[in-house]
Amino acid sequence: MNKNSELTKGVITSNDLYDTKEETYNNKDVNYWRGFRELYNDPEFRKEVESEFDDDAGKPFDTSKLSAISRRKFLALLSASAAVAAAGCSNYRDKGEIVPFNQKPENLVEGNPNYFASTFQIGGEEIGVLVKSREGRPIKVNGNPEHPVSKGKANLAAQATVLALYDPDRIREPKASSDKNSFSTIQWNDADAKIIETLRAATTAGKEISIFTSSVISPTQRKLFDDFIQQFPTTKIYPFEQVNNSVKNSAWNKIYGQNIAPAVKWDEAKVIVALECDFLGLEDGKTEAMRLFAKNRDLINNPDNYSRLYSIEGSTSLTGLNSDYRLRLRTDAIEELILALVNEFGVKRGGSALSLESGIVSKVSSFNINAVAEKYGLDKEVIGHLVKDLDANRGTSIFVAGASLPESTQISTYLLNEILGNTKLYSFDFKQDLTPLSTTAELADLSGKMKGGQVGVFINFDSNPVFDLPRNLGMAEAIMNVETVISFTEIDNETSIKSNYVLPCNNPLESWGDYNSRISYFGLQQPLIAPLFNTRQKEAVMLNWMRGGNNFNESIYHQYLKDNWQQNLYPILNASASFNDFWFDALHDGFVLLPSQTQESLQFNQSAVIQAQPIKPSGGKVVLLTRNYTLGDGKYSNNGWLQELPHPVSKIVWDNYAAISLATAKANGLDSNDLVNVSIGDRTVTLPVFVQPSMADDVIAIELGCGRSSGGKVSEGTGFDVVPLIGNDGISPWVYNNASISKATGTYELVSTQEHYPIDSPKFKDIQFKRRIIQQGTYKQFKSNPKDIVDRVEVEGIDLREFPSINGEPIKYTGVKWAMAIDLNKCTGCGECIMSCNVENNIPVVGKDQVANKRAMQWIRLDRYYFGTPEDARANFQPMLCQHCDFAPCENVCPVVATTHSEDGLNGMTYNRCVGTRYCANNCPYKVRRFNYFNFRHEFKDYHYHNDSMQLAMNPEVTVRSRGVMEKCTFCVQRVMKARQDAISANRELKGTDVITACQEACPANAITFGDMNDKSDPIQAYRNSDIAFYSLEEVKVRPNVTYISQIFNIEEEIPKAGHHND
Amino acid sequence: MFSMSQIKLISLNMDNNKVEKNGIKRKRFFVYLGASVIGIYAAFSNPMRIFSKKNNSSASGKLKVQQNPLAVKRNYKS
Repeated sequence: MNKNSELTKGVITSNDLYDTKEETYNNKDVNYWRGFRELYNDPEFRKEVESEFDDDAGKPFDTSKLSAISRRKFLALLSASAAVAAAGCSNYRDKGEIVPFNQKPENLVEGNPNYFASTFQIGGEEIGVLVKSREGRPIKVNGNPEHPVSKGKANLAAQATVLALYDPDRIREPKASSDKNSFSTIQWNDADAKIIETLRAATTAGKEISIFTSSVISPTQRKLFDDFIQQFPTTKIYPFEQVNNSVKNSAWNKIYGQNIAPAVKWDEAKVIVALECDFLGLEDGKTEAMRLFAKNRDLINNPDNYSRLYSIEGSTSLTGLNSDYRLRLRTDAIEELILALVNEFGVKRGGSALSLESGIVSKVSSFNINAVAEKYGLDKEVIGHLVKDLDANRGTSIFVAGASLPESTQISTYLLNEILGNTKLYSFDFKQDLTPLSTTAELADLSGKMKGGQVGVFINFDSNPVFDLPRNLGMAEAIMNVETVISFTEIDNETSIKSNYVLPCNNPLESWGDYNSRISYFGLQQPLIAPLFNTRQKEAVMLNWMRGGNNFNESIYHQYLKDNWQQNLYPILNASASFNDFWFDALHDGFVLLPSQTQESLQFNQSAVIQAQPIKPSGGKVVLLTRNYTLGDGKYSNNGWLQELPHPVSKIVWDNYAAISLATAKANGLDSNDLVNVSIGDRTVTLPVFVQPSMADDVIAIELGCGRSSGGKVSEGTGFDVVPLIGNDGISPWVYNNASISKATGTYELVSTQEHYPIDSPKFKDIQFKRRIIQQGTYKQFKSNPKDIVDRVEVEGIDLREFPSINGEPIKYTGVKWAMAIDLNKCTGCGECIMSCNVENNIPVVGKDQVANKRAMQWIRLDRYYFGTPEDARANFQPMLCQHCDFAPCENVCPVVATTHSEDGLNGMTYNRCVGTRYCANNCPYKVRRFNYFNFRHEFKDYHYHNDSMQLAMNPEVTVRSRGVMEKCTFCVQRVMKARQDAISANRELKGTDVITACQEACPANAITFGDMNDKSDPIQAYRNSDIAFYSLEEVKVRPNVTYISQIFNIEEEIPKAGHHND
Repeated sequence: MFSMSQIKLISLNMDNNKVEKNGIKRKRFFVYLGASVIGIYAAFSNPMRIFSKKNNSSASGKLKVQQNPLAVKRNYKS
């Protein structure tokens, strides 16, 4: 680094030059960077950072270029314009009449929310939710606190269901088409009559009635299908999920003879080794996994138990970036390492919990850890730590293979766990789907039958087979050959536009249902609201068809569900209450616990290991296709909040991309935003490249779920469809090691939020390190001397905390004073807090072009700081929101006093005073203020979200901001006020624990704490008083009220302290 | 009392005024009348709507929100 002694004294010269790249990489000091442009000191990037304002902003005003208009003409035009404007103001902001209830519904008090428990099916799993409803309409989805799995946490898709309920693109009336091209509205009764006739005709003619659906985990839906099959015997069910656990389950079945692989007791594992397994971000059960994993990463409440996480992967995942040790290894080579470890622990070292057969011994004997490390350039020190940790933690360590890995790798992983005695960490709570997912062969058979005219009726049961299925099945063509195609869907999709009948179905918030994806409980789903449009629950429609079509009402499926429970579930529970009481209790709770079942002992089948053919890494590149972090398989692509949520790793919004390593990019002459052809066999897809730090070389990671051609207005033109890459020649349905890439013509702009709002200036070269934005240390340091971890800033030998501030002494808050604490050890960077804040505070969707202009409106941003080299970068995640500073610099500069400080320590915004000077945002050192440059509800997609249904989505407790107004995190002041009112009504003191902010409520890892810093008994005191607590930009002396807990890595090596470059 | 010349001047002026009053007044009357009609029509037709973006927003909100009477709510305070 620059050894200029003047610079180290803080004296800035105009010629402060950055070191050469070599010096930077060779230096082992911590060097924080957020992207390659910053790391390489890209001149364009530096220019953008330096010039906060447009280049033209400082230019002098040239009056000669003004048009010459006389004063008289100007005044005449002015008065005429005013007259015309006044004439147009007749209906200004008239939203209609507000009429109070004449007959108020029971239990509905205006201003007080009601809460309803329910369950959603997201992909193949169920999420227990508690939905907040105001004046009869749902406005927020949270986790159900009593739910045995959710424990008060939901996931991104569940939280965003509110927007889906009020989506303007929802189909409002059923429609029909004779040529699967042009549609016209049809009445439900007419559609039902015609469909029933068609179903009967197909049955009589012996033609198949195919029902294509997502995972069947609902017992009542399964019974409905069974009853339907009884009535129409040629019916066949085809459940399908684009990314699923079928390979994992198949491997488990071969090894143990059971149908479904277990979950993991993350909270009991001392050493976790994730093999291409993003259990904190993408795998099923991630919400529960985050909560359990965070229990052993809590140094405030559980300092003696701190797990160690290893991640071995080819892509860069959220789990990988959160790991203590990480090994970059291409996906198809992971099995070699596992077999080497099997050899090490199963053969060489002894002490194996499983006595290995000779077939296995001879199979693994050629695999050696050192040889694998040499071959793939793995860090031998890390391998050494891994071996040592596994040896010391037999029975309390766990290897977990990602669902995308091939069967042989899964089998080897189960074998290794068996050898190490780790099987006690399996949690046998997962239940097999009630109808097994269709295999590729079955789907190919279906497609063949459709093309051959053997399918009389194809029912798309709220799925999207034309988009989701591999293109080699030819579903788009096959569906045109089917006589009658019926699509149940909320929004038009690629399948419904090729249908004969499009029947709009209810949203989950409008539907009844039950779920049983776990053996320990049943989940119940109840509708909070009558259907907003002329839609119906799809199960109810099917029931109506079975009953002749004349008896539809909204409650027929409710009755069917209730009857099923009464006949089949209630008797096995031996409940003492009457069925009606039991039913109401079940709806109240949202779930029913089932009697515990004894788990049969595991019998390991060693022959399955011997028969499994190990994967051989090829010379080609590896393509890894994963589920989308926010959009799933594309089902949620029309949800603006989900599209605009920054990707947790790359921070890119609105698009997917091909993530590759720096070396792979250089070798192929590629850079971020370049278009690349990714080919697997004869299948090619063109999409933009993103150079991702920490990727393994020759691995291309691409997310599915984007590039919808008919997914609604919001999803139009976003992302790239990569489903065409799926074929039969992979080592698993999602991993292909015979891929190649070539540069394509053109570029495509990917928009990332990470390089926005930098809080450092390049003119002060070392101050970004000296400012200690992130503090980190090791677990060893924490145990020996935690005070040594946080690098306190000193000025002339005086701790900065003792140094007087120019603002004088802070005001003494005698009552409640709100503060927040964020534990960086528990925070995984998942983004649930951002989504919850979006929903709670009516954050507008701005669109990709506005995000590119650095105008994203989310109040929380998750800063991700890389450190280390681009090849092996590690990362810190830091949620950054308004710090509600005691000496808030934004308050001093507002010319109209629109931002003020409250008696309880909140920095408040008065939106109707704000005139939009943006001086406050200019002054904010954390850059957390957001300005409404437009009325985004009008600007985004041409008034798309300015709609009668979208108005219902707004939280009435929070102002909807218009153009020209600044906004920022308010610490959920509406919740604070509500808690205060409740305390006053109950004649008690307001406590810090009475308020739960939206972000705190949603965080699956419980990383956020909110409370009263003046209350000594408040849980937040433990965070504020911790030796490893720090404040961001402490030296600016604005006295922020958000405490961060330093990030502690459980590693053997020391981490250099930030800011000690020149020591 | 006025002199004859003054009377002539006055009468001439009056004659002139009489001629001007009839011709100008009528024409101007109809011009003003037409302009007023157009202006009132324009004002009541709300000309700003011509320049506003077309959107499907419905300020009055035709959607009916009806809570499901069979849903069981939680006993929740906050």
